[in-house]
Amino acid sequence: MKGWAAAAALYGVGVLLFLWPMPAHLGTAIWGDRFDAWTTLWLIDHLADRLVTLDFTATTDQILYPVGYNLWSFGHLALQAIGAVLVALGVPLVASYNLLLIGGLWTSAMAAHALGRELTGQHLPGLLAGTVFATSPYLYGEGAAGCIELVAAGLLPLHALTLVRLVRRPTVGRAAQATAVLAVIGPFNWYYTLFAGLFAVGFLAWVVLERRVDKRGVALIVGSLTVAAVLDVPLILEARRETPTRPPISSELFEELDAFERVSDITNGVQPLATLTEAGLEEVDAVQVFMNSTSVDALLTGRFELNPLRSTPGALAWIAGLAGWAAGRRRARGWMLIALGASVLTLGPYPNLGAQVPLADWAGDWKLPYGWAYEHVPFFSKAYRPYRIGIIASQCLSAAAAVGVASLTASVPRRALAGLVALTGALGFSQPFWAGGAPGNRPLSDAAVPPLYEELASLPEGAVIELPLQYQPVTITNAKLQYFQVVHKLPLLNCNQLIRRPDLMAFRDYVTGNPFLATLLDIARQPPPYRFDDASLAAVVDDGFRYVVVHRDVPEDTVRLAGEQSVTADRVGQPALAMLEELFGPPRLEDVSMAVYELPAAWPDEGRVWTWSGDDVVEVQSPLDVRSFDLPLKLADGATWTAWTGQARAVSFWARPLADHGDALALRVISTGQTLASRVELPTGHWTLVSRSIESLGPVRLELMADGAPVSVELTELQVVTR
Amino acid sequence: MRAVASGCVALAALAWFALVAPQVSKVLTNDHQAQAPPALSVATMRRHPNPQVQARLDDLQRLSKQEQLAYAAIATVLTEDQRAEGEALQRDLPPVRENSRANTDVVALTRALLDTYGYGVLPPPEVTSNSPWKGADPITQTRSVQALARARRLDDEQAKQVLGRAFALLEVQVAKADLIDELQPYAPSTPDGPGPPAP
Repeated sequence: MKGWAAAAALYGVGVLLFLWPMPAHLGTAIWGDRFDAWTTLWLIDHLADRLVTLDFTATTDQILYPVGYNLWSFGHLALQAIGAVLVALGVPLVASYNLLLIGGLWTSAMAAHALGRELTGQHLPGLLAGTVFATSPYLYGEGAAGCIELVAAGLLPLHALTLVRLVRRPTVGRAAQATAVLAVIGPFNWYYTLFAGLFAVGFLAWVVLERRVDKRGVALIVGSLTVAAVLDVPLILEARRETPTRPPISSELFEELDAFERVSDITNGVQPLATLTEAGLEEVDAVQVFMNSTSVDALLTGRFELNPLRSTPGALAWIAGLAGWAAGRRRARGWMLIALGASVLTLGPYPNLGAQVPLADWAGDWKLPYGWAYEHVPFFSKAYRPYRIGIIASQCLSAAAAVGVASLTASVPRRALAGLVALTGALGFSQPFWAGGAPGNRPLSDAAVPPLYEELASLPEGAVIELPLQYQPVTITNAKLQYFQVVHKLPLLNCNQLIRRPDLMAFRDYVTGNPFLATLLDIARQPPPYRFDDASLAAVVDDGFRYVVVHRDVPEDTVRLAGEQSVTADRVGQPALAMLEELFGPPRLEDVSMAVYELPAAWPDEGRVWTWSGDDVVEVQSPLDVRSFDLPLKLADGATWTAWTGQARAVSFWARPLADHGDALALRVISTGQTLASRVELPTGHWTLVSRSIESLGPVRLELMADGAPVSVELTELQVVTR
Repeated sequence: MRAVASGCVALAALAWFALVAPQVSKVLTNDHQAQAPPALSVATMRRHPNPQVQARLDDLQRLSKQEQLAYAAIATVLTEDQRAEGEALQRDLPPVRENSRANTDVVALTRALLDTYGYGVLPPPEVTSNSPWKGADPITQTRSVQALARARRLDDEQAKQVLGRAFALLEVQVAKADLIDELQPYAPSTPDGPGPPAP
């Protein structure tokens, strides 16, 4: 037991270092900023609510209201359910999420350790296996992307361990263990079920070819795989919601640049929702296969990447695995061959040398094993993110490393081997701070919820529409809206599940069928005119909607989920704000960062048609608008920039200071004989909407001035209401 | 014996990842061959009688001026040695027209651009913002940013800024190349090619 306890403690320390500084901010920040993370947080909280109320129905209308959402569409709930138990027991939500991540990595290390120990009978090789497996760039990248269910990969080496034991002594009891582990992987992660099955087939081929197993052993392994598959059958139908039928792939599609541009328009939320079709979404799914394939460059360089799409087992795993193969020879050979095979599968259907888009013409003639299996092997197409098969390579490399170290114990002093393993551990767990781009130094993601949402929770019940309405999580701010629901708990109209084609189609039909909702779609990027009728407003109210939320403060989006195209997606402009105010009156709730407009309990359909032409709003075109050249407005102390000259009733713009400590500007309104100045405070790390009314009958000059210190800010969407 | 073999393999693998792989990576991500835009004599074309051609030549000269301004901006931030190195590297740039569309081999282009121009490129304000960078998808952008950050020891935010500006500069060259394409049929006949269409 001492060995296990020591291993557990060492992995505990190692994992905390690996994830640092997140453990120091356990309850306030998370480790990644992709929409997966915020969605997972919501799911954990939602499942906790279900646990408390003993509500185990499959559908919910808390998101995608009023269409409704089937929770099985997430495809994997078991890990989140563990988080839900923590939340139900009183552990704060963010801390639960972070604990799951820490726990997922720790259990992965422990399971790989157990595999290494089972193979060698010693803890020292186990330590090497645990380190190599848990510190792979793949797990790090998935954690950073918020896919914590993929970080919790420990069931894979655990399943390998049960197979090793089954080969060594083929008994029904051991077969039952292998069956149970494989069946349990299903609810945790469908990818991993498939990958574990893939590994099992490779492992079986190896032990049969080397005559390491008798007929009874083969029968028990095959039986184990079959029974596990049968046990998971009831879940397969539900899991199909998460990955509907996979579309066909072809080299012609991947060689077509236009296809990538069409897909990009959808994933960036640029293509109008009304024009989305099943065929278009299937093309997105097909291109995903290419985009999620490892490049030859990534595989050969084995960098410690933050981006999971470029992640591999990593240089450390390959060095340890190859050295282990050289030392362990025949005993490590099978592990290495499976690792190599899995690595080839990660390359996807066609070779891509340097992650180029589109596929090079010559590459289309070289169909790889993945491409063949995608077309011909049942269920294989569910593994439509080839790079993830790298987890099997990681597992096998860690096993080969363990076998290699164990084979050196007779010829190398144990102390030297222990030193080598300790060095590997120190290097492995500290990689985030020196390897690749040192991703451990990047900032964490603030998980704070704007305080106004608590006040929203206390208002009468009713569904919420957050602006701008998007069909893709094109920005972090948009991705977090579902997470904010854990505070206000009101049903929310949203859609952020790209891979669930049926849900997206249902969202399309509902939103585009109502002219008012269609107006709210991507409204930050849609200039006037806005036009809808009373009937559409009445229908929205009848459907239970009561609140429209708009944000005046948008945290800087460092991830830019949809690239530069998303820069303006969050920043709702003057025409839309004027429209909301005229329709619903002043906000029911507001603070500096957001406003909540309340819809009336009933909207009389008097046949009116509401139109905002936007004729009275001028958007100032300037090279200093950050959208023009990505250049900031820099003003020396006392310097001014004339933004507008002419009639003006109101002015608004969005600004973000570049200084770490925030910044301030003076907005000066100069009319005949008088100058009015107001100070504009700009908090760092945020885009802030600055809006001012102007009470002057004549023409004015609007100036921005650095008042007291030099100013460097990014500025955009400067709009003047002229009458 | 096993220990020696294992140690040698470990060292060889280490050498691969530390020394060889980065060079291989450069080759793999720069596998497009350079191809200079076709030469076109503005002075000769000025004699063409078609007024539309003359208008396009005006556009071309305006773009050339913008390009010169951009190069001048580069000159202010690069040392003599860096400039000389950049000029040498520029000969190996991928063909601009092939990269004028979003997502076209942005990673390879990034490396070439940054090798050529270095950090601190500021395009002149007249440059259009409709660069391939802005149209590239997030995955390609992320890869580019990371490639650049690695190559230049920048943080991701710096790398993003540099790329945005470098691609804006590139857009001038793209527009220029497109114009040259457009004007090519009007160029005087050569022994090897067709003559200009009738005015």
